[in-house]
Amino acid sequence: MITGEALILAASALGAGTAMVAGIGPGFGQGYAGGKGAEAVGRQPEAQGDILRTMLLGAAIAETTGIYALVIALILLFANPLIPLYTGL
Amino acid sequence: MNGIDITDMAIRNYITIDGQPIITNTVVTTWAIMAILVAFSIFVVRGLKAVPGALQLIVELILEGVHWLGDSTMGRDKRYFAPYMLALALYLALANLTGLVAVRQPTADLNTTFALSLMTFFMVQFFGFKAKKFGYVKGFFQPLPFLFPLNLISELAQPISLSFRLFGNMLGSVVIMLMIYMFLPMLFPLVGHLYFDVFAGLIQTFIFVMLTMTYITLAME
Amino acid sequence: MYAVLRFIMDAGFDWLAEQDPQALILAGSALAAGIAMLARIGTGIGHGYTAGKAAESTGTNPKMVRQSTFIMLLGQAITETSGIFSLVVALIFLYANPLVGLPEAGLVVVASTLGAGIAMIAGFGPGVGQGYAAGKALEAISHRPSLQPPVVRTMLLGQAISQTTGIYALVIALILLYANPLLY
Repeated sequence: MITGEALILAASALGAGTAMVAGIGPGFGQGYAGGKGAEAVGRQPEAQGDILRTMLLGAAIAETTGIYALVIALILLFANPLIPLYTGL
Repeated sequence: MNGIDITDMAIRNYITIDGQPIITNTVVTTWAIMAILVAFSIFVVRGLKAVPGALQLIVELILEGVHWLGDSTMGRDKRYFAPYMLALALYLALANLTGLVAVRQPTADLNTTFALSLMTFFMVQFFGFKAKKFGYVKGFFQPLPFLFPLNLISELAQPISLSFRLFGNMLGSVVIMLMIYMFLPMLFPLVGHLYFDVFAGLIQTFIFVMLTMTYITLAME
Repeated sequence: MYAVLRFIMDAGFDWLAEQDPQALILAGSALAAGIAMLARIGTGIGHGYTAGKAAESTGTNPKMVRQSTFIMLLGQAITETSGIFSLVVALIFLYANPLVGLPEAGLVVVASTLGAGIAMIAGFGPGVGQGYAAGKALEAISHRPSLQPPVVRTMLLGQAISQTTGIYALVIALILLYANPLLY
């Protein structure tokens, strides 16, 4: 028989996997930033230091989305708040 | 478990104190790399001559390369970071290349990569605060005050992304090489090593050092 | 409507419960291997974009065809690194599946395999992004060939950064496979 807890654990595994699909966004976004950065360096080589820094600053902000997905997945895997909630009922 | 046993890619604990692994093969490999680097540097420094020999030329080339990279990324006034960056680059390069001698890369272990990222993180905070004093803290409230949480999170995201990027690539290399040895034992291990250990390893080294330099420069601006 | 849904759910779960757990795990692995390979769409797009830009840059600057080809291959090699991981996870499912013999509740193991497979779809993003970065770098170099070093350096940096989220997905998938905290 499928116990309630097993169902929650199964759903948590699926949830963790699905959360990571969010990696598509920053993956493409930071790639776009990298491409435009390379193009900008090609156009203005003497501004290369500033281009690099702006690109990295923007990429770091985009990184936060990937970090959110990773944090949620890790919470679902390691510190699952739903199981104690279920057992507490 | 069918097929190959990938758990032997796991970290072997040589000495554990009440269950907590203290000396693992990662630590031993790191010591070996440190010993190699120290011995190499002593050997080169002792052999310094006015007319440089072949070895001295290579070392000078490496030094020039790091200085050139440092100058173009951080600017001439921050030349004092070059020794740390060179040490970091040499350690990471050797660590990533140990996969060639069938030793598990120390960088394929989150402890190593997170330790290195934390070093970078504290350097960024220290030099940022030293350079801009209170301005650095105020920097977190740019450009709008309510952006503080986002700035804080992207500041914390730096060590996480630095460590997971190096760790994920190296762990991926370990897993792939294990599978190549298991299923394609003929020519492919050579190609696999060239691509994953040499190519990916050196690029990850370059990326880690470049990002460390750029993060520090960003903080000190 | 709700009754129909309930009926389907019950029938589905009953059918599921009857199946032998090991068969379910293997079925899940097969599905997960397929799902993991979805990320290769992104890598394909990325490679295509780089190749297109390489051809275009050779058009604008014919005498540096060797340089363009080298940078195209370099960019594609790095784009490939983020794509290789989904192939590796799929091969792990097929040939070196760690979850097969586990006695724990079959449903959690099946969900873990599916979760690992779905996580690997994230490789789609970096695949496209890295390809775009390599393409733009090629375009920039074709206009000003003397600027190759800084442009390639920026390209490498941009590609490596965009790969991080693909690496997060790989780490989560490997956790689900090898160090699954939900099983014990």
